[in-house]
Amino acid sequence: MSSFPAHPEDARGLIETLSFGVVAGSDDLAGLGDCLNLLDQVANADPATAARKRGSLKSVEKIINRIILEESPDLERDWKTIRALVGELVGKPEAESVPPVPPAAASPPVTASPVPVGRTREQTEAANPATHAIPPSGLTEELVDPELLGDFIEEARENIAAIELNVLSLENDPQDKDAINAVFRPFHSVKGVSGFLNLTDINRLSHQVENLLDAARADQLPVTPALIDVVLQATDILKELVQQLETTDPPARLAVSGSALVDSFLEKLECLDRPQPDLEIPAVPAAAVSQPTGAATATSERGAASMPPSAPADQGAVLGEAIDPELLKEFIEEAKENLASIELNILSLESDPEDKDAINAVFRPFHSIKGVSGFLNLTTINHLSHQVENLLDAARGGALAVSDRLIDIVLKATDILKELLNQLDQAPDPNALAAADSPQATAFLQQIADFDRSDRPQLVSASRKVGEILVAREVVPEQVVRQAVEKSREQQRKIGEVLVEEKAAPVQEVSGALRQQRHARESVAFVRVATDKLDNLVDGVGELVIAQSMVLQNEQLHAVKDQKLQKDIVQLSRITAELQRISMSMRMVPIKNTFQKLIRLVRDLSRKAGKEISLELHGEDTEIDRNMVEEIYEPLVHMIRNSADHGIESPEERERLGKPRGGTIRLAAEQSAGSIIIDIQDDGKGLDLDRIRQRAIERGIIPAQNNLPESALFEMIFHPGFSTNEKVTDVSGRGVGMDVVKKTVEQLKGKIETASTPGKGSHFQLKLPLTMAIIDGMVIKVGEQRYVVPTIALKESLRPGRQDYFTVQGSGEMMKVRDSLMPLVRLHQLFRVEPRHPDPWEALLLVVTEGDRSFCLLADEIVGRQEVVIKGLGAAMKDLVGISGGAILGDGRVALILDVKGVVSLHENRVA
Amino acid sequence: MAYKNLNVLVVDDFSTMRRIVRNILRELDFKNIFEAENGKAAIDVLSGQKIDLIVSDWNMPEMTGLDLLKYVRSNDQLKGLPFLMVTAEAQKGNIIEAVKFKVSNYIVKPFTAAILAEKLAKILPAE
Repeated sequence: MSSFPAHPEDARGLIETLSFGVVAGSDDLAGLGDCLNLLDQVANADPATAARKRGSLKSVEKIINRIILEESPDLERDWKTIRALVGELVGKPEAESVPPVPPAAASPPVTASPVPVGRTREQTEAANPATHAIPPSGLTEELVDPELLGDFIEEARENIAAIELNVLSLENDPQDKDAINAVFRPFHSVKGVSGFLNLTDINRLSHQVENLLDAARADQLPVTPALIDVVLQATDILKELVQQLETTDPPARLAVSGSALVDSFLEKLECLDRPQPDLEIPAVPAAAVSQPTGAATATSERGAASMPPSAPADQGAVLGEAIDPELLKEFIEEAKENLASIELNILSLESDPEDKDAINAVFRPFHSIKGVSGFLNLTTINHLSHQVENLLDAARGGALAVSDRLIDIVLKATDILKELLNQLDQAPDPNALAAADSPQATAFLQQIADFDRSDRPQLVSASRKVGEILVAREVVPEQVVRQAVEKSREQQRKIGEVLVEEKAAPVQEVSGALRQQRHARESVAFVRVATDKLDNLVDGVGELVIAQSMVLQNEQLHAVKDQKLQKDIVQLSRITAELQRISMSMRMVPIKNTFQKLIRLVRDLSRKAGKEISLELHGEDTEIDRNMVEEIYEPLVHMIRNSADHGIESPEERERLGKPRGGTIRLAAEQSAGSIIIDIQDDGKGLDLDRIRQRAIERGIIPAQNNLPESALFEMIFHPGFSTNEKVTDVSGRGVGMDVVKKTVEQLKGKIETASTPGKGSHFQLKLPLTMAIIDGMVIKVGEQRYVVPTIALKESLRPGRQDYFTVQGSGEMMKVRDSLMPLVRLHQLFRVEPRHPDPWEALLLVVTEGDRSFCLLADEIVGRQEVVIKGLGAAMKDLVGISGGAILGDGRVALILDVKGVVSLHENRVA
Repeated sequence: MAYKNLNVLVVDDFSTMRRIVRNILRELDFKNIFEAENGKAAIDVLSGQKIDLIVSDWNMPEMTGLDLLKYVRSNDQLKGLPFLMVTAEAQKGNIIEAVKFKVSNYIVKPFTAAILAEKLAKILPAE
């Protein structure tokens, strides 16, 4: 064996620290910390050898860790294993270099209560008679017979294969007793042999799964997909452990431990719904399988004298006395504040699920509430916050994806906690309530328990990149990388680790690749920019485009006949166009976040209204101006509320009508011809036309005698103060809503259309411009003035004949366009300008639509169609009817943007 | 106990938790208890006040308990200061990191006065 490590003083220091009692038992955290640091130094001093000896080093580290955490099942054995491993590392036979029991005198006490290593046996046994129950393991010191171990590995592999095969047939037929047996048996034999061989983790794992399967066999536990998942996960971990066993150096085998893996799995197992309490077997030390008197018993014995600090939160030390009311009050207030901060942080988490700070900010309140409620004996609050904390901890550690489902669970937990705190606040006797159960919380805890935790964040893309870098550097062949990627995905480990472990790539190369990857990542990093800066940039670019066209249209410039100038102008135009495109795209965001916020709304609404409603989302990736996204949220909320409350019937009613019990609201977004179309469709009862008509008459909105067509009646629901719902519910029916929706949509220069089929449902369609900063418009001239007509309202333009002009009594001037009569709107009259052509047949007509009516705008000339940047007119002119803003045209002149709705109302006032 | 004249600094972002720890310390006869709501605030206290013992939470905004520990251990005047880290059962694994940075000991929430006394006996110099 080569001498190791390269810097012998480190190793000697480690040996001395470990062997000669400088470390005074588990109380000497400083000494143990030194050992860990020495291990790191050893690993850093000679990375290549350290990589080779990774198994042994890791084992030493793991054992020290569990001593620190007071999780060691047998302290004395752990110390011996450490010494054996370290002795092996420096290439000396353990028995000669390290006295098995260092003399007590040689151990300088470093703590107030020194417990020299050599004396632990007597001390432990004196304090804890239960250790006598552990059969003296003949396998502790001498190495396991390599042949025996080899046989076990072989056999375990076969067993694993058998499990996987039979689990599949069990999945097909969960009742198949033979299949359960066939899965049970391999776990049983693995458990048996691993116990004999001192393979603690394999033993613990297989024992637990064996228990589950035994219960399933006895019909005490149903074979659910969840159970099958558990079995498969356990099989994966078992595979990993067996693999480790094979690749680790012989002395490390004793302590081969995937503790972390097994622990987290067993923890997960505890979260599962277990019908029988006795399934929970304490961590069984090796070779003591049949006598469960190991660590768990030892701990509780010790606990009798003084509470062990590792006592579980829910059964451990709680203040036995009544709760101090003042303390309780402080807690309630502080907890509420903390909960309020969660919703805020959830939002940033939703937009960036990988934001570790945001996860932590959501995690922390639950963590703090859990901590304090444990002291205050508030069992329900403690359990609930603890469970959510666990989920978030998994998310923080990258073991669980921050999915929408997770966020929903967290939000719901927040609500329930708020509710529990309120109850606590109002309860006359908080002490009685503290331990009381809340059915809501109990149901929710079940929901958390059922939460599918297999949803892991995607590591694959990142892994592949490191692999690609290594392939590009010709360090590793592509085939090997592909296998490693596969493996890293299966085991949820970093590809670098897998490659190093399989000795496919040296550590230096992998860390080099990681560094390169980090650089690559940094180069696509994001910068947070204030939105007003972004708006200024977009405006500025708009101005630039306009200034450019002003320059280009300058006649002096046209006189210059220089080829180079022409070429440069083309180049300039290309750059400004690109700049404009980029700056516009910077403000576009997917509509997804807005849509997803509505999922919770629908869930809450259906619960409140006692209906079963699901929200279907389509086109969530459609991009929309971020300024607009905020504006449309409220309208969408109103419309969805309406659908949920007025539209969709109760489950019983739906059943009676032969519809499925659950109603559906479909929310879809798409981009179409320069607009964003948002559809809100439900499969409820549709708009009640008779009711609308009746209500509109009652409210005096329409005369009692009327012939209004359907479409006009639909319009009524947008009338301010109109509500057909007699009963004001918690959800909607306050008479505000649809009029606000319409107003908002119009402010956004969009339109809303309504359709409804009785018994089949209603359908609202919002048509919004892509962005609020720029509109696509037709520039027209009336006299010398220029106006922009938004193309969203424009249907066609035409030159009428004299015969198309009519004057109708009471309705003013009309134009006949394709057999229908439309009111003629003389823009020059409305805006008091001198027209060039007062007669329509000499001028131009622009047919615009407003609602479902069409109007003809009279103009002198069409200048052309162009995109214009909208400029506000300032506060002084914001109430101007008929004009929605101004725009600077290419030649530097100002044009006013027409607001078609305003123009129509101006016209109607004039005629009336 | 001879602790009563020691100056203890309790660091936690959750004020109820600080109060609970303070109450428990009072039970153990400590008289001089100082508070800080995170690592940064703790450093402020340390710069103006002689402190004999720190009892700190781990997870706090602004500056965590671990960062406070690192600061204390790298400061020549403070490096020997007894430092007790408060942690939760689920986060116990993190303690390894703190041990590497020479935390004096740790205590798992929720704890009683008796457990705290036991821990303090291990890390405070005998008087």
